[in-house]
Amino acid sequence: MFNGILPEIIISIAALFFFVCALFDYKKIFPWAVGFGVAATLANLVSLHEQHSFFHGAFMVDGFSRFFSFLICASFLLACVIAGRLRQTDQEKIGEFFFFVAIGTLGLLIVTGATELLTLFIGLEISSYPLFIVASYRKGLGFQFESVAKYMVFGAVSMAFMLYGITYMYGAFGSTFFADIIPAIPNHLDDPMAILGVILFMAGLLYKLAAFPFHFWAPDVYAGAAVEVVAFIAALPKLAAVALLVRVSSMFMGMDGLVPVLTILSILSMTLGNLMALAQNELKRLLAYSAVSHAGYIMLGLLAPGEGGLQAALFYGAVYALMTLAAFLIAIEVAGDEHDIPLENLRGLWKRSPSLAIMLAVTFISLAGLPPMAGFTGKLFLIMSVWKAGYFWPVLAAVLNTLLGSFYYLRVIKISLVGGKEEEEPLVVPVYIRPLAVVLGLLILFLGLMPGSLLNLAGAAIASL
Amino acid sequence: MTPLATLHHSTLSYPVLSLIIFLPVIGAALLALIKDEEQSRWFSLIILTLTFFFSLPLLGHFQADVLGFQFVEQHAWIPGYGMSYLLGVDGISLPLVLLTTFVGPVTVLCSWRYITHRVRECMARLLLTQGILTGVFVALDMVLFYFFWEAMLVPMFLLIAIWGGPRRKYAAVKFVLYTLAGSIFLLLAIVGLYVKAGSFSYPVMLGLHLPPTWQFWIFMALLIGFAVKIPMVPLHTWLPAAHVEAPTAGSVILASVLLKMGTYGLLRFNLTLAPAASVSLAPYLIVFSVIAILYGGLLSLAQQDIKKLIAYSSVSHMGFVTLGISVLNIQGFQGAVLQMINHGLTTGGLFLLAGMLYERTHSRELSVNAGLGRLMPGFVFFLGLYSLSSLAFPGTASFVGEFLCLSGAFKHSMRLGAWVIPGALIAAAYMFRMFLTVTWGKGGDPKLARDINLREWASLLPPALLVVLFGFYPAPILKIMNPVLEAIITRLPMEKSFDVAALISHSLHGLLN
Repeated sequence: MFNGILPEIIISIAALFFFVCALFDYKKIFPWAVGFGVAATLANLVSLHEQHSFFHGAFMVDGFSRFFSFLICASFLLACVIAGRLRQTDQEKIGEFFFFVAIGTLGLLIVTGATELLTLFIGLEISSYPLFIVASYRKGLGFQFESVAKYMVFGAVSMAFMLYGITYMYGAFGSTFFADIIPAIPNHLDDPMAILGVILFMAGLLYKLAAFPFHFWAPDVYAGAAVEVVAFIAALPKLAAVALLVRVSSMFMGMDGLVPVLTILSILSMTLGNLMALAQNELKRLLAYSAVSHAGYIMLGLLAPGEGGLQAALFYGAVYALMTLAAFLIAIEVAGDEHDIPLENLRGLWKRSPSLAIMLAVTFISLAGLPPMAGFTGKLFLIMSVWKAGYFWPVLAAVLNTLLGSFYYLRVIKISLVGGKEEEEPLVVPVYIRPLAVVLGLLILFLGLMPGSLLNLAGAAIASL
Repeated sequence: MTPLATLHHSTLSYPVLSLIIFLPVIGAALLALIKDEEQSRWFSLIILTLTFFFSLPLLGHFQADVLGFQFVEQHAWIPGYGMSYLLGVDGISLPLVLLTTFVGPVTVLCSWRYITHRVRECMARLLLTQGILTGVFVALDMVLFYFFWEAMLVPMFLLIAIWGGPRRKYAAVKFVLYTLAGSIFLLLAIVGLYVKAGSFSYPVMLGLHLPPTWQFWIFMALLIGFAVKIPMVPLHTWLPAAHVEAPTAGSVILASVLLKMGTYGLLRFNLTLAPAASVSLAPYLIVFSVIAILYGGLLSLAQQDIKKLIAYSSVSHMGFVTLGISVLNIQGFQGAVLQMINHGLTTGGLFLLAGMLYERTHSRELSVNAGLGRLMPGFVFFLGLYSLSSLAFPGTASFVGEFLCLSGAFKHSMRLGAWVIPGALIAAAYMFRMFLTVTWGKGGDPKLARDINLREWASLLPPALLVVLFGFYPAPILKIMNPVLEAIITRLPMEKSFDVAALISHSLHGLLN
């Protein structure tokens, strides 16, 4: 039975270990972080087929939660590796940094397995507060206070919405356990209280996902926090949010009015995110708005639960986390000491570090959703299933947004591959970054060409719900 | 099931189509290991020549009288979603595949001295483009087709943006955005067809009988995707920019192969997947084709920049191709396919020549290059030949193609023929204007004249031989493509089956209410 929660156990031990390191001012944490990340990721392979229920059914270890715990642990590992030198973080706070990040990851693991609304809420809170704190660990003075304040206030407000929604749902269904709620849903399909509860509940998810209209924190936090912190914020909570969307929100999709609300939010999210990203000249802000638009794509999957839409959403979520971490690998390496990472920093990248330049091209082509990269394949699965379910307009919006998005993604590629002088100083990167970049690039290409394996895993995860 | 959709497995023991797609792609990856610039040139040349030779067995083993797809390779790709790795060629795609592999070595030869910086990367792009373009013509799974269709954008974008002329970035971005804007509609059409057919396999889709509304919208979406590539007026404005700014190799790829992707798609997908819509919408296509022929020709007549002149002549020539397709009779179809091949050879050759002039004088202006031809006999020989072929002089390849297109137009209606004939005249006018200026004009600096060398001969001669060969003896190509073209015609309904105006108003009605 403990095999099933091995990843959670390892991450908890890691968090305690980092805490002790912080107490004793021990600075060489990086190898340990990587070690714990590897151990947690491998532990998932042990627990992949476990089926258990903990705390009277409040926390489930099933294929679905293990799928996400694998993704989250792997992203944790990857984010630790690319964060590496912690260039923009206050060096005094290395121990705390890893402690809080590990605690946040643990919270996300709880969220993905929670099958009871309050457990889920607590998991979300555990994952949020540590990230509020690390978002302020920026070296020197900057805008971090503003960004942390925005992150926290928005977080608190949306969490309050969510809690409010949970009370309504409890009122409507008489229980907070999914096991009791699911059979009761057909009787409440047009119950205003239940519908209001679900919509309010979604607020918290949309905040985590940085989807419209709860996306306003994203650009400022992305731009204000240290770039390695943003890598965590950008990838890990998104995965948990996708898990919640698929596990929880999809249960209620039959309710009156939810489909139009979700469709409109997803279309607005895609379009506004892309439109705002067009005007950005700073890499992190650009990625923030691109996150908003990608959140819209992921939400599309919910429209077609019967046609493989959930599977597609899982696939896209996983691919999105991978692409984001790959993009932040580059962001971390080209970040200077200044506050922002202007796109100009990428100029001449092909000369300064050819392997990173090629990886950047692969990643941004994938983000833009052009073949043969994983981003395209994910989008294709999404729009296929949505159209099959009979919704054409979201499909049209998604496809038009691909065009809109490619304007700014291609601009980044153009700056990094085309411009620049012949004589540029080579980029100094740690030894492991270059092979890692190649592996990530190949992985994005591989998932684009051969999505079968990941897709099957996602399908198995959905089937275990 | 229609005979068009039959799949004949390869009679060869090895997967020939995969080989000619992936040999250049692997070559591009291997180029990363070669540090020396000269070696990378030779390596690319050898790879592309090998690819061409590997594609020749296609011609030898192709059974011209058999309908359906040959040399089929089918493997499961993503079974749950109806995608498979399905390749095959038929009478329409075989000539285009051979054209693509044939042009490959030429593009390396013309970049030999033209490209002076980041040589290795340039060669890698050329190899990659080559493999992907072959893939476009042989893919029978629509997702695979779309993969190749879009994957081509990135290497082409970089080819123009890095090695192009002064306004290269503008041209490259314009090229990509136009194509992307078109291809999102292509994607919509593909997914729509999937929703109806439950599979992405083109042979399966051939069995569909779509309702008129679907046919109409599928046709329109496919058409927008292809029309940008062809390019049809009024979506043609990216072409002159891209041609002018691209390096010679880029122009050659664009003119010889890339534009054919559009007309190939039109002939292959539009006419077979939406036959009723094709019959009803063909008159509109004819109008746009005639506009392209005349307008492209007139624009070409006014250009001072040699590459721009050839680019606009491409618009005009591709107008003949779309005209041949949209008159919906066998002569027109034959003419269209022949014209695709001939235009690829002829215009490719003209761009090679323009590139050579540029290497000598560093200008593409007619006035700067005027009179240089007199001092370069070898050069003028080829310029004369390709110019004659471009204006469809009897005995050159384009004559056969254009003649068939014209006779198709006349068969469709005498009045249409009368509209198109001036296009052929204008072609003579702009080609002679260029030829005469370059050869006997005044104003060029004679010191810059230097006759073509052996390498340039090697790049110019093979297409020239084919131009003459097909001019006198087009029968082999006609024989290859005839059965499939006839089968496409028999699939088309005889009568216009739906009223386009009513359909659009109906759709708008549905949208607004």
